Amino acid sequence: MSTLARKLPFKPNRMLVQLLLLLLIILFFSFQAPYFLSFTNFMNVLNQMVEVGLIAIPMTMIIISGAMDLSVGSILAFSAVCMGIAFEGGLNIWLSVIVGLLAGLACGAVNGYLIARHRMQAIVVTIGMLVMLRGLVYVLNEGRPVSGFPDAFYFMGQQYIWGIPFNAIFLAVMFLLVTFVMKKTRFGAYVYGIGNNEETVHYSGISVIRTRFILFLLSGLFSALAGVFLVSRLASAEATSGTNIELDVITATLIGGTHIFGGRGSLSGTFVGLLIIVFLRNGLNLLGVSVLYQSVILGILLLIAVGKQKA
Amino acid sequence: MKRLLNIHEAPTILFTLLIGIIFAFISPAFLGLDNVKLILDQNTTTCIVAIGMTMVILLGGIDLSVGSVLALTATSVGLFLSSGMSPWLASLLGVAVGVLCGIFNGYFIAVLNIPDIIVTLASMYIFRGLAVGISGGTWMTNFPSQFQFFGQGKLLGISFPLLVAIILVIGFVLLLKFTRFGRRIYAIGGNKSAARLAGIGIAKSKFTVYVYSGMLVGIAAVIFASKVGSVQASTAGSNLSFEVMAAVLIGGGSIFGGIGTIAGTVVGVLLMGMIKNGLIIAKVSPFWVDAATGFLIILAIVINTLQHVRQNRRKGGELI
Amino acid sequence: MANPVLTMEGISKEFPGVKALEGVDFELYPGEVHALMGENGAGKSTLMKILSGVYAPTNGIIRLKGEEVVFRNPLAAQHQGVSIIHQEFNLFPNLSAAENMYIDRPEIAGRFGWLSWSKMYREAQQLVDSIGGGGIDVRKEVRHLGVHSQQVIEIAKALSFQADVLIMDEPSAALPENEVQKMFEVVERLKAQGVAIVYVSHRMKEIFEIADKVTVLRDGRKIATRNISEVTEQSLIRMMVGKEVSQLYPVRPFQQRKETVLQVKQLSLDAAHAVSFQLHKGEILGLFGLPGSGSHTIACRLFGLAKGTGEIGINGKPVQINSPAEAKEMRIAYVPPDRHRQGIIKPLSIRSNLALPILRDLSEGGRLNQEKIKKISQYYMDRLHIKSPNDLQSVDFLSGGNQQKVVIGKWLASKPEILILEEPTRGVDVGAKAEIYNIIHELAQNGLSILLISSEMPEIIGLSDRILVLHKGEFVHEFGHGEADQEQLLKRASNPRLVEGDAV
Repeated sequence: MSTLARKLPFKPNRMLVQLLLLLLIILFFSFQAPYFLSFTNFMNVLNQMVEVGLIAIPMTMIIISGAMDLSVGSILAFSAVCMGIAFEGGLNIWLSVIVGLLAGLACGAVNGYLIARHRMQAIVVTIGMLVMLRGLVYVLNEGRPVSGFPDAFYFMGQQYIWGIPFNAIFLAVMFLLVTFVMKKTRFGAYVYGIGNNEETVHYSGISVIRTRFILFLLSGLFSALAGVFLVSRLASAEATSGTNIELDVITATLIGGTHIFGGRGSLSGTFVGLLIIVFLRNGLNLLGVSVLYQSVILGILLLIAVGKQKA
Repeated sequence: MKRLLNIHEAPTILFTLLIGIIFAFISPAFLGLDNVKLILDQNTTTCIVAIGMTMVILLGGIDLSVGSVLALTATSVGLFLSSGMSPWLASLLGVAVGVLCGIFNGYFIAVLNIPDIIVTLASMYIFRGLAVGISGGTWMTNFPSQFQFFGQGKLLGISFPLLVAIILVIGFVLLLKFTRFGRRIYAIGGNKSAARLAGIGIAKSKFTVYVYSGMLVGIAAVIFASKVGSVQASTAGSNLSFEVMAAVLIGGGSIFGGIGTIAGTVVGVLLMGMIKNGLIIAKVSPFWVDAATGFLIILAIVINTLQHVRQNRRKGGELI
Repeated sequence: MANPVLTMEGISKEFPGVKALEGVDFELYPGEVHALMGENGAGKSTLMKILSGVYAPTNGIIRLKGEEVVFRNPLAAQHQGVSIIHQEFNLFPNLSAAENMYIDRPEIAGRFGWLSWSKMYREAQQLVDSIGGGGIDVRKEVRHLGVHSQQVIEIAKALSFQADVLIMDEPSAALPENEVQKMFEVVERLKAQGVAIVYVSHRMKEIFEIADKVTVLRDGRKIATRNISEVTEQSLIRMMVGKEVSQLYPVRPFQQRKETVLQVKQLSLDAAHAVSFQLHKGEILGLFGLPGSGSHTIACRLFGLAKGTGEIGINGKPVQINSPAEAKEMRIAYVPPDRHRQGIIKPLSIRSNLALPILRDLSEGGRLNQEKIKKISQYYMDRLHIKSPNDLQSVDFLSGGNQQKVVIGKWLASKPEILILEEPTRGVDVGAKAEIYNIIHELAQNGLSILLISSEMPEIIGLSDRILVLHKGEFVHEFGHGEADQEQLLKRASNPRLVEGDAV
């Protein structure tokens, strides 16, 4: 047994455990929840995981670089509401989408400017943004939802192509694209480098500030994208959207093997972590477990995932 | 005068006065005795929770879970009461629930050495979920009339919660100033490795701080439940941890640990309370309150970092 | 004379693969200042760490006032009366001076076990005053105190533990010139109180001013203990340096000076005051100075890690260097002194480390060209003889010497014109040292201009074509090819005024 463990490289081993956990969850719910094991339900799950999944992409990169972004849920809502207001103001729907994305980028830029350029603590800055943006969201539309978007827009969140939801395909493409960036490009190398030893990267004549700034920009952009997809899926932009989404995102990332202190992790791991979480939530939903009880389970999973990393 | 300005909290106090004057101009009712009483009364729970948060931040830590601890404790008290327990016993048990939450956080953070941000993020959801679970998802109301004393009663002409807050503030000011436990917190926050060399048990101090913090939130929760007269587990104290953190940072606490006082935090709480109250009196959308809180957190961290950079520059030359 | 307060008998300390100390005896009497001298790596710091409870000796006995003692940790040593003051102070910047001395000490409790601030302030002020720190207000927070005052607080803290033995590690390094005298006054008072002081320093001038006795270590052995009146600067240096430099160094013939590559004028910042120098093509220019003399600052400035005043010219053109990225653009490379923190990224592979600074050149439109990376990496593996089964191995598994070669390699890959080497062989075994020296020599032969900063004198002397000596941030002397020896070098660096007939 021990020789076998030694022969297997570390990473696939870890991935194996994650896949096993996923399999167990699927098996468990297949027996427990009657409607769980069906193509429709699975596609439904995929359709619903997109927002968390989109945000998990930059979150993985940011945690690998040794930081964290807690403001993603608020950025999501802020972008969604900005988009809604732009649309209500008479703007073309696609231009409104662009307005939403720009709003997300702007939030990311503020985060990035304070954290990368001025080396402020990421956690506190993003908590500040979390609270402030959520407040602004309510200020902007006084808490009432925006709806009545044109049908063409609902394509993004509700259309199925060959039985597969469009947004899930989009998510998969994004995952592949960013996996490529992290594995095959200079930028990815810098992110891993910064997470492992920021000072050496700085001493190698590479701009740590720029890399960090881009990461928070990306986080803003992807959160905004998630906002757009959410609005499209639910057909309305609400002030409460994205509340507490950071728990799902961070848990997925950390269960996926990304190290809390940075330097190690992968998007493929995050993807598996994501599946674990969404299937778990879906199964619990089908069993009639309340959303807030699900949070208890997620919280415990998070503690276990990080606790394992210390050992 | 110069000596007064040298106090660490001087800028916050001045700023608070300034805000007060501005609001007084906008709305004369702001400085009325009733309104001042209202501001004090509205912020007792925040103030009590902020005492614990001050200690956590002094250690260089962070606690996102206090709002959920408040919800869980308040819900438990509601359950105890509805099962016919006497208000005193129910409240006492409620505080015990808070302490248990503190032990939970402290165990994972101090003993298992998991980063505080992760532990309290997780426990924020765990405690909230438990609260909703045991409440059955409904409002807790119809508390017995004797229970109202904790949140609405008066003792010696002063409102009871205010009295509790004052006693706790004084108690913890003394604890931090005059006991070895209190000074250890400052030492650990100031220079961890020097603290270790001085033989200070870092894990033990951390654990104790989180337990105290849990206890304080427990007390705050009892007052909260009694004052509001009802508890909804899913929303009670939902933004509390952020507000309290803002108050500590605004009150001069340093996110890097070691610097800050409970007195400063109290000023921070009052400032936040005044802004909230003033915005409402000035008939600005109440939604601006959250936006203002977030902005203040960012402002506080900006000031914090600037001070930190300035001090380090003086020490280590201009090397970047 | 009275009985010794402290004796160490036959102290040895072995680390895996290294004998840091071998059979060292040491005696310390009350009320004396005993200087401990030796070159870097002679074993001073190991001896101090054993004495202050950081390390346990492999062999040997420590007696305190005649009784055998074992220090479990620094705090235990402190309680038994042996305190150390490190170069980097161990203070709480956010606490008052008094509290720094008495943190977590039960003896300062007042009624009901509560802290008595008045008692603490009173006793702290008394202690501080007793060693001549009368100007210091112990109520002030330490971060608002100057370096000298902080040092006084550290000393007073030691005294509050009833210290019999006080170890001072390079106590003058952080102090400005005018405060060194103040520190000496403090030391004199301690002497008068009967405290025995171990004074560790490189600076000759100070040793002769303050010490009563001196013990010299070399290569982990004790060479001699003498009364200060029995030695001269010459004889001390001879004891420290010992035999002549071995065959570690390649022979560097005299070089005709070629064109100037780097020109520095009036560069000032921090420890460096208006330094000017030139570096020529294919030259190895040594910069030597005691700790804090400013050579590190100069390197940081040239590599864009710090900002300051002064002009820098490269190949005759004035340039601005504001960041390491800009320095890299100008073909300046810097092998930093702390390899672990600044040189390598430990968990990553040799290949990733080697390619890091030049990833821009090794990628097309952001996409990394793995073929090119592999080629470059393998080229430098071979060229620098980095010993590892392959270049995908994590650098964590390499020996210190091979790690250092990786750091040198990653900068050679950037094809620099100017290479700044700071402590290029720190923590590297002898075999690898020789290899690295050969590499440096070869690079210069091929036209690379090298700025060599090192605290190891044999290294500077063995490799440099010219040596500039820094003292307190200013150049005090230049040695031409073959002119320098260790005695001269150390003399100039520690106290240029002692050298007669010298026009700087």
